[in-house]
Amino acid sequence: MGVPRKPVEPPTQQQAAFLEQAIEQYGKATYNFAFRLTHNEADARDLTQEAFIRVYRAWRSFQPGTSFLSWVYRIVTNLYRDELRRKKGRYQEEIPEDNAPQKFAGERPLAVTPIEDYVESQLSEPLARSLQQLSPDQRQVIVLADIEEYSYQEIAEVMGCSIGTVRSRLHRARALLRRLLQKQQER
Amino acid sequence: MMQHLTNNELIDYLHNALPAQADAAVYAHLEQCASCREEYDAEAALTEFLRGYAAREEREMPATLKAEIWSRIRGAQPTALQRLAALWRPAMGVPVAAAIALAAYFSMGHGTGAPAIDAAYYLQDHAALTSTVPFNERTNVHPAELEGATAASNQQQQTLASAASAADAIP
Repeated sequence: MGVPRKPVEPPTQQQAAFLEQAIEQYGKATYNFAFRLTHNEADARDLTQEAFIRVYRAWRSFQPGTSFLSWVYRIVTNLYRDELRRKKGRYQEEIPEDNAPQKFAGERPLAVTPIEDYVESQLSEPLARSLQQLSPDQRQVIVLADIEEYSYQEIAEVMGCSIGTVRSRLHRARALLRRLLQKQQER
Repeated sequence: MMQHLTNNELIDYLHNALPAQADAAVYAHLEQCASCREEYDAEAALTEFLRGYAAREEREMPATLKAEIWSRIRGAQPTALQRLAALWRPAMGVPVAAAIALAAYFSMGHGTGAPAIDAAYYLQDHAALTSTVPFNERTNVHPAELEGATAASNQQQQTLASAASAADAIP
């Protein structure tokens, strides 16, 4: 991702400890969140890296008692949005063709995959494909509401919009997702 | 009996986003309306499906990502050698570093002009290669901190930094 890179000030001891702990505790969640938005390892990696640089720079503005993860998610959201603006259209173009080989079942060869994994991968593939067809905002509202189990209020804070917008976005996103899944089942 | 629930109401109900009174009304309706209950189950199944999918797809943060964040904060990308060290670990890294150091020492020729690479570089390199935590602050010896560090070592750092950015450019 072409996020502009500003030079970073050397850390104070406290600041270094803050970042160390932030990555330790929330690095994985942040990376997974970024991956769910982008469905792309390289972009998820860049988003995570840039987000923690912002955390590092703005560490004093974090208010104890508020959710650290929501703060990081908001940073990731804004970075992702900037990136989408910069590369408008790119993410839509990445929707895989129906016949293109898919990689959702992981790297293991099918022959040694236990049957449960196989069945799950059969379920995952249409869902992954359908999620990719949602708009970035729709995908994000679903990730936050249904996977992260955030309240509408929390989602509004992360996405920087009103609760009403969260509500209507989620309604539309879920309706579309159901239609897309149904369409795949009918094939 | 109130009219059938909309999917939007069911979605809000599912996400605990209705005011108490509306929430109770939906609950009461679902108790007695099989067709709305069926629709509610479908919405709930979608959420379950998404959660199951997310759990299956959950990944570990890439091993080098943390080091990359730290090295950006320290103002440099990890050098090509540090990247190798992260992959190789001391078992291979130490003999290789020793071989490179010996070869460089003997090929330099003594007293013929300033050496291209100074001792500080080897110290730094050795620390990087032998460390099991290659990017840990304490294991990095910065040439500038060493006594007798010369302009040559700074130049060396710049060369390493540009080598690292060249390495980054490789897909």
